[in-house]
Amino acid sequence: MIQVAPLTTLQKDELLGQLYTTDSYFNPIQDCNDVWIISTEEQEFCDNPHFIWVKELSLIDYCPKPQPPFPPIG
Amino acid sequence: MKWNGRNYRPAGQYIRHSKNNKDFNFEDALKPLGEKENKGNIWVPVKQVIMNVPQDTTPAPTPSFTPTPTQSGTPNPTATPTNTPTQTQSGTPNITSTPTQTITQTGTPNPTSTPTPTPTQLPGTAEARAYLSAVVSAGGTGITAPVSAATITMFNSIYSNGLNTNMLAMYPFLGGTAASHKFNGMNPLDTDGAYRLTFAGGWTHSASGATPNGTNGVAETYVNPSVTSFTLSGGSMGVYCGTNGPSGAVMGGIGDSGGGSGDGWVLYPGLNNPGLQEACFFWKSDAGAFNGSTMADTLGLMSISRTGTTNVNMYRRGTLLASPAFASNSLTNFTLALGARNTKNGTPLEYSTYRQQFTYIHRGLTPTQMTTLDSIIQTYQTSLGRNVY
Repeated sequence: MIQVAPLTTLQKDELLGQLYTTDSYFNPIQDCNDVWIISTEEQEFCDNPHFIWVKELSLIDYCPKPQPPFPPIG
Repeated sequence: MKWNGRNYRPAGQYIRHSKNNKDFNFEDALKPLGEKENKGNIWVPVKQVIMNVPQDTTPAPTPSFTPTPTQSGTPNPTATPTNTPTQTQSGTPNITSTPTQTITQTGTPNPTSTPTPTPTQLPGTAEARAYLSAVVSAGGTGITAPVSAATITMFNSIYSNGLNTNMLAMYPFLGGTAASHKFNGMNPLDTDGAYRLTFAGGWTHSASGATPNGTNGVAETYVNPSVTSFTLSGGSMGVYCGTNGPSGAVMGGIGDSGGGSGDGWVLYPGLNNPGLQEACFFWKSDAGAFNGSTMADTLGLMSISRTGTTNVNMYRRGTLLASPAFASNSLTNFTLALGARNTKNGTPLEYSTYRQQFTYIHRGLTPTQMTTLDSIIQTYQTSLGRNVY
């Protein structure tokens, strides 16, 4: 099961548009329960001293939002 | 010189040097004990050996990522010089018979003038060097001489076959980091306008390529078909996929999800319909196309292309899988993403886990061109030691 790190809305706003390492930006998304999350890669590879706190985030199982059927018209 | 009337120096005795001994001979003093007179020839060959060591102070050229053909010195008027090219391209056989770059000079040079040969540089060499330089400058690692040579050969092949024409972007994914993977080989500048990638979310970068995590990993290309001189009759994109990702995932695409306005441009390497098939969504509202036959996997170069307004071609490893009627209605007016499908509201969808080892965006490749490109890329991946079939 894929695990992800949940964020509060404030935390999500803080990470938007910010680098977690060289040439790599945070990309918070919402899961199936509309909880903002980031990936474990963003946690693991984060070396931006302003956001080292993401390494302390707890993990939850990832529940993706349902994808639209193919062809993607919905 | 004799010692006690004998022609050899007795063991245990040695010659002393004193200020008063004007006959002291250093050469003789160096002779081994017990050696007979004039048998010190042992030193002669030693001296000759030392004297005959080639005084080659120029080390053998070590191939680098920016090999520059050079010729220095004035040629010997009595000999025909052999110009050894310093650029070495090894281990990368050219499928399309691009000649190996060599610098040759024949005949005896005019002793009264110093020749200044103009090296013949194959098309694409300068571009390859610029790309490799950008990779190294960005901190990319693993750019060894064979990797550099393979990359130069790949560029040579693309340019020699004219595939660079209308090639907007190609991403060789060298150097093993996001900073080095981001560069577009056609224009390796660190700008959005050069279609440099911007990575977001979870990616793993390695010498094998760039792998999105399938959760939120996406890369922005900044290529917008509506503003990048695409036409309804021309477009192509493809990814040399290093992993056989799960069906239903998109390895890179562009499109929107608004009902009735689905004019996206999306490559699906494998969707279950019910077997594994390549699929796409190519500038036509509310419709997608399948190749119609089941594939074993999605490893290798997976591509879509159209060179007309009525059909779209789907390729796997350079082989045309299907060419369904699929008229193009309108060009998408937002940018292409890798690792997921961009949408007009700015939220990417359908994240994938396909490892990208070479990705290109073109204005439209014919079936013949697609076969050629596939051969070039497969050869390139093999030279890099990361081919997947």
